[in-house]
Amino acid sequence: MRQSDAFAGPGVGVRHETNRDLGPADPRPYLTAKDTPAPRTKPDASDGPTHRAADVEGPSGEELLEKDKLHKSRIDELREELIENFDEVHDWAESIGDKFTQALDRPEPTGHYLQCRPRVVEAHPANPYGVDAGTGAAAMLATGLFVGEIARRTYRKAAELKERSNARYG
Amino acid sequence: MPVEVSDWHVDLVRTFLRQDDGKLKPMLGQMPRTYEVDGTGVLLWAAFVEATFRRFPDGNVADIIRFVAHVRIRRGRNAPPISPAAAEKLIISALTATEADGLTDLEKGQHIILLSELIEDEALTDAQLDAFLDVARTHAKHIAASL
Amino acid sequence: MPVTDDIVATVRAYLQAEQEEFQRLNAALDRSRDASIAYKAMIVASFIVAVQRKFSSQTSRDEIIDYVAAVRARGTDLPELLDPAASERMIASVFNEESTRDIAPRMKNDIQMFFATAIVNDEGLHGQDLEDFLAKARKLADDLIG
Repeated sequence: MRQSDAFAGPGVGVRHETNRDLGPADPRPYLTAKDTPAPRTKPDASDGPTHRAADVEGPSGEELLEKDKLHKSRIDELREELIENFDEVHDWAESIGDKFTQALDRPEPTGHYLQCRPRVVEAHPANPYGVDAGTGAAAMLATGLFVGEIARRTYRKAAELKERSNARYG
Repeated sequence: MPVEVSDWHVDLVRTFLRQDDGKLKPMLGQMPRTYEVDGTGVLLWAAFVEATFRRFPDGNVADIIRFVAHVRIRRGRNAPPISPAAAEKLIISALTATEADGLTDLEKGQHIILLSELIEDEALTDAQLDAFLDVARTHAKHIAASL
Repeated sequence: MPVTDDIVATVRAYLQAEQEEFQRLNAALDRSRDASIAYKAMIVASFIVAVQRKFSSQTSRDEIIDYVAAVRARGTDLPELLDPAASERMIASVFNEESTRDIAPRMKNDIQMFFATAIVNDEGLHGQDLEDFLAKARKLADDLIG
């Protein structure tokens, strides 16, 4: 069975870049007019006879497990999980109510909005910002994070240089 | 002893946000070796609060989710990982002045990374960054006064 | 005990986002041990088949992050119900060997149901296509039950 890793290494996958041909770059390239599913990575039914719904009748469950690379260790774990908490599945389903309908993609996503506090500058009796002595406001923690970011930026610059060099020299 | 937010603290945060790592490295050596709250930490949090307000003026949760995903994708696998749930909670905490519950201390520090990402997206000029830091410093002084 | 027609009908109802039908069928299901295990198996299998339809072993981490974020952004309750890291791991685990034992059972149920529903509807599966999908999931569920 081929070893597979859904998390491919760096350099593979979707790159989120603004389309600069359209004028000033949108500083928020991740926003889209509507929710759109992630790009397909498999052929769909419209791609011809290689992926037909009729194929479903052929393979057995066992063959499906092997064909689609469900690893044996995962199969074993899934089987064990079936007998855990099975008695809660009906109550869980009842508790869902109509929430599962939210998973549908709608043309105009409704989203929801936080009740943001007013942006006041005056001091409040209680600290309004949620900062306490342990919240990452500590100097040592900031130092550690700065070091991490310096390392990341260094790596990124090196990767960009290598990419440019590869593009130039092939 | 009251926490002070000095010119040096502002310069440190400016240098970090400008991604001037050549200048930043020696400055790190001058940072206090303490787990107490100090001017850098307070200023970083205040700057993060200001940056999130500018970026999410409506407090739209879907925008926050998409932003965090965008940042994680942009940073790639070789960057210090961001916990997406923690990142969302921190942004919400900043916008609503509520405690970000259930986070480890390391996760709470992620606002520093998020601040860097927010400012990178804004692509501010030097003057705009200075103006931003002026506002953040004002917020920071008020935080410091309430500690 | 293999998956029954009633269980398939219940899962079909939630995949089609038919809330009242789903609740009606769910309430009427056999609650014996074996029937409950079969129900769980069908929920798990529907999720696996849906993920296998939309993604593959070549899918990048970035695409999974993107899709999970897109789905979580769709509804008011989803950001809290669907932990992003757990959702990403469960989708990826269909193609890798990573254990998901540490994810709470309820969270797993939520992730399996919501993402199966999202994918089925995003892929536009209706009519015969949906029946073929359910048949495939049923075979997988029966094999998991053993």
